[in-house]
Amino acid sequence: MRVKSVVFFLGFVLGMCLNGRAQEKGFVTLSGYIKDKASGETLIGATVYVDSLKTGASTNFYGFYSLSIPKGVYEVSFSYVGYESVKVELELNENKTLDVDLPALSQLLDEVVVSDEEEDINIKSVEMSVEKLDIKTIEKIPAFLGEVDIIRAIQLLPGVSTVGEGATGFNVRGGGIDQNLVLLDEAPVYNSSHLFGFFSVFNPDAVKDVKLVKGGIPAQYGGRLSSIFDVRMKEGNERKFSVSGGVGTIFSRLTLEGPIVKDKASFILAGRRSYVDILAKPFLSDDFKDSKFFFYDLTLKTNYKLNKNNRLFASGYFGRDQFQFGSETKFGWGNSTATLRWNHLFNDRLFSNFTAYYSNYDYKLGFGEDLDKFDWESAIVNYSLKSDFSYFVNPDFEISFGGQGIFYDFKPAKAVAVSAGEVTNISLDNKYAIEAGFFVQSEQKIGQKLSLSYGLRWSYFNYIGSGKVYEFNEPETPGGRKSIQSITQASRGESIESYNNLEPRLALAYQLSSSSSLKASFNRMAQYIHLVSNTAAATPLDVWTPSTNNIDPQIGMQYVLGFFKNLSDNTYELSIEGYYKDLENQLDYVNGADLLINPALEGELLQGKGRAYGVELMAKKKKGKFSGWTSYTISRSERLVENVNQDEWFPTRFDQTHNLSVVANYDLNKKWSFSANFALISGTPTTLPTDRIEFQGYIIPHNSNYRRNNYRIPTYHRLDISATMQGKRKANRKNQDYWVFSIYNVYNNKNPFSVFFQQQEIRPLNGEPIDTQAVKFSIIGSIVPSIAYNFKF
Amino acid sequence: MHLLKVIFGFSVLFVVFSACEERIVVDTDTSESELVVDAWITNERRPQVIKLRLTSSYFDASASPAATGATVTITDTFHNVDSLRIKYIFIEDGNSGDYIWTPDENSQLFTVGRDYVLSIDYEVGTYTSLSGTGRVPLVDSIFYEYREESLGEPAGYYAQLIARDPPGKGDAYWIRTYKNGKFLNKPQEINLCYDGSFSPNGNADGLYFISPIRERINRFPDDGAGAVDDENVAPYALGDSIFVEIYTITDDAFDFLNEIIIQMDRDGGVQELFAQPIANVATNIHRENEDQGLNPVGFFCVSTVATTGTVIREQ
Repeated sequence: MRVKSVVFFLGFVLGMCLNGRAQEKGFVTLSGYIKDKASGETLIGATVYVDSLKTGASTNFYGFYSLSIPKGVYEVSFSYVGYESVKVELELNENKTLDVDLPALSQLLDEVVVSDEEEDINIKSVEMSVEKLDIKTIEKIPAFLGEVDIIRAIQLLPGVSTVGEGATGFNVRGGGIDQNLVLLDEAPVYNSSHLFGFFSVFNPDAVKDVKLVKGGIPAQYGGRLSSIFDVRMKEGNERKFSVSGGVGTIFSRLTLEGPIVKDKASFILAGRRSYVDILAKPFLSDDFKDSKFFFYDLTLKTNYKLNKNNRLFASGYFGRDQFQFGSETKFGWGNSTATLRWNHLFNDRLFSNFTAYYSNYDYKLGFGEDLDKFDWESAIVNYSLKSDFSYFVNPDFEISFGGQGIFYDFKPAKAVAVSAGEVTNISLDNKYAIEAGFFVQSEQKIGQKLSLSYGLRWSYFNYIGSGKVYEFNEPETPGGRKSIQSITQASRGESIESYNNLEPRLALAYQLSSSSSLKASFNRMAQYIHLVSNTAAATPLDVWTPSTNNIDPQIGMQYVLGFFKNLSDNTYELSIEGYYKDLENQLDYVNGADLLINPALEGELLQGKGRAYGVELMAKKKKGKFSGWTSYTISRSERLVENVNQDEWFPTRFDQTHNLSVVANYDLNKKWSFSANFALISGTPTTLPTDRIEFQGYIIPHNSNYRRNNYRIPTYHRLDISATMQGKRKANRKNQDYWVFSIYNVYNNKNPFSVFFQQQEIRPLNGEPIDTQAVKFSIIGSIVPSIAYNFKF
Repeated sequence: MHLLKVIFGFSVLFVVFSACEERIVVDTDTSESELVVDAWITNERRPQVIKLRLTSSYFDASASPAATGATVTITDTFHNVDSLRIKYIFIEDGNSGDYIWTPDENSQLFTVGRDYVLSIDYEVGTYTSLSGTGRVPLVDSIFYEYREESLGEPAGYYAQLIARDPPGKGDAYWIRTYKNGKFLNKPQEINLCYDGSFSPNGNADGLYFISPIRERINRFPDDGAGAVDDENVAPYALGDSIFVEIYTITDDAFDFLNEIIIQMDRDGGVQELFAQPIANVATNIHRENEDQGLNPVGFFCVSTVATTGTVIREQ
């Protein structure tokens, strides 16, 4: 029994750790929460530092820290980017709990506060390949149509790419969009886009912290190959009631937050709605009057502090895109998630969190009325229970462990077609699966220079009944469609196929000097669910499917090496990282694949290998009136699929050789600040026909080299700028408001999304030659100015 | 609400950010020519043509070169004994690459339920292919009506093909429409049907052809510079004739035609986001010896045909 041995192993490792230096006498623990002074919002990744010991700790996702040090009298500093540091003199003779409030750096302050030691955390920490953006930074980046968007913001970071403007999701280090685990307060979000891909589903007003983990992924996380995109919502101001909001070109936003019980319980409720439809209404003719096109999202979170050791959180998200043309054609999709969490402190050093979540992504599509119609609904639903424990053994050693179970309900199609009044049910059976993961992860410092992080995750997946089990024949032509050999019925709960994987994770950092370090990491990841999509950009109609007896889980291994250097008293951060990835069982599709409402879907799928490698350079200026970053990535992302591309490696549709981003922000004075960003990106590859086949009067494009993605669309480059104007401050009033003026695509470059091939759009005359052409298509073919107004009181 | 007015004003001006298309020139790197076999045969008593061509550069609008001097035959495999098998010999029309078999009153036509083998000898290569023949659907009529302007479609006459798939799974059709005697030859007008619906996968069977298939006998409008018969013009007007052929096709032919739609039907616009990948379409032409002759592309299919037609008159 492999399960038993793994559990035993975890227990063993845990036991070892707890017997370590933790028991040493003469040590005391300082622990507590670090918060924003104004709102009481906990701060993620804030630092505690004891200068005389040259040791420290940082807060976890819940703002909690724990530091074990010898008894004594210390000056302890608490700090966080964008906040004033607080220094406290403490006499520590016994374990102590200390919650600290940090005041935010006011825009009114011209002087920048003196830096403290822990600003070099990027050098000392073992963490690498991690991008953190706080919402204040994201808000400064010039946004498309003035709408602050966290997914568009992370696309400016090294190693993050996309098929093109307007495409759903993002690609990390050469992985597919379904290989990112997108978490909103721990619940996975299966489609992160509004309006196909132009806007993300996260309301920036409700977001506290965004973290993208591209490599060296700790064992806490599993289930996706490429990255973890962890979005944490605000808890809501626990000191006073406030209303904030804004009016932009696309959305209107309104956020309410405040205490329920002061310093004990708070809530936040944030909503957005697009209003293009309202604006367009007067211009629509009568037959379009029934038309709808809007999207909205609602985010709610509340928390309650039961006592010093127990805190509860409940959060929920509900978002929807709704399109309707006339009264007959309807199309809508959306995510909903709900998360319940309980933070429990067993003691000053053992922090735990228990989570239960529900996540649902569904869409509905309908055409026609009465006698001739088609209605289709599809969804992926999951329920999960999860626990995480962190044990702060001593400042040099922290161990975490935990487990998770997920139940999946895949609903590929509930569909009915009505033709001339006759009803045909074309629904597909639901598919069910269970996923489990157990992990142990430790962080350890060995001496002053070497830090280690090592862990192991064991993951298990079971594709269960009830449902039909398909067996397929070998394809008639190599690489072709597989026909059904047999269908058997599996009973409820019966195991159809199971998989398990050991996923070792390792990272180490070696400090070369006080301002530079060398880091390396390795991780193995397993992914058991797959997004079935073979269009250029994923569509809201794409269906998630489990690993089955015909689809193997995807496996990914990644190796990363990096060098980190800070300059001028940590004002500048420089880094270079190189990575190599090996991917197994990547999905591909037979030509002309029929992927929707197809019971024999598995017969349309191929699986192949993938590899991705690249070098990412990043230079960041974090402090001062002028801040920002420049990142450059050179990379390759390839696939190898039997019988495709002459059995040779080919680049993926989102492969980008060069990717350069410059993001700059300048605070001129109390009233004005300016931002700009520039992107220069190699064209992505596409398949180009070389020849024409004349057939039955048609011109069929044909590639005589039998190559895939053999041509690159032209280079993409774009400059955006914005200016933020703070409104007048009225004496005695705390109202704040500001205007953001932005211009997207300043020099009006018609950036290509794709190059496609078509024959003349005028009807060809029989027997006459048919003109064929290559067409460059731009999603955004103009300069896009916008204006937005934001307020808070 | 002065503030809102300002912002709304901006929105109306700029929210309609323009997607745009631009014709460009790309370098194509073509390699060796391939043999194109265009062999779509019907059970009708009229000359049957098989066209042999060579592939040519995608952007070269002139006619592809003919593959001349080939020997082309189709063999009916109904009899087990070779000497009893009917052989249809296709004769080249001059040096056109068009190979023709013309039936007379007594000729045995291509027949439902039989399998046919195509054989081609061209230069040093030998090529073969196999096709079955399926049954025709129950064609009722063409229905047409005058519609008022609705959802951006202009007022005028719209037609529907009323036909029903016979019970029993596995019937595939290619519906070919002629307006005033001219074949509707745009990629967007290729109209396929499987068991009355779109796809062989699923529970459809014995259906009246579903609404989108019925409606696809209305022509696809022209677009771009010089377009006259564009989206402001209704598909049919009084006096227009409509003629529909329903070809029964094999499963492989259904897949093949679906693939060529994906490759040819590129509307552009935001649909490019969701375009399926370009890939070479499959062929059912086999080269006997991989080392001899050209790589074959194209398709062989024997179809039985049902037809119906009407003329649009005032009702």
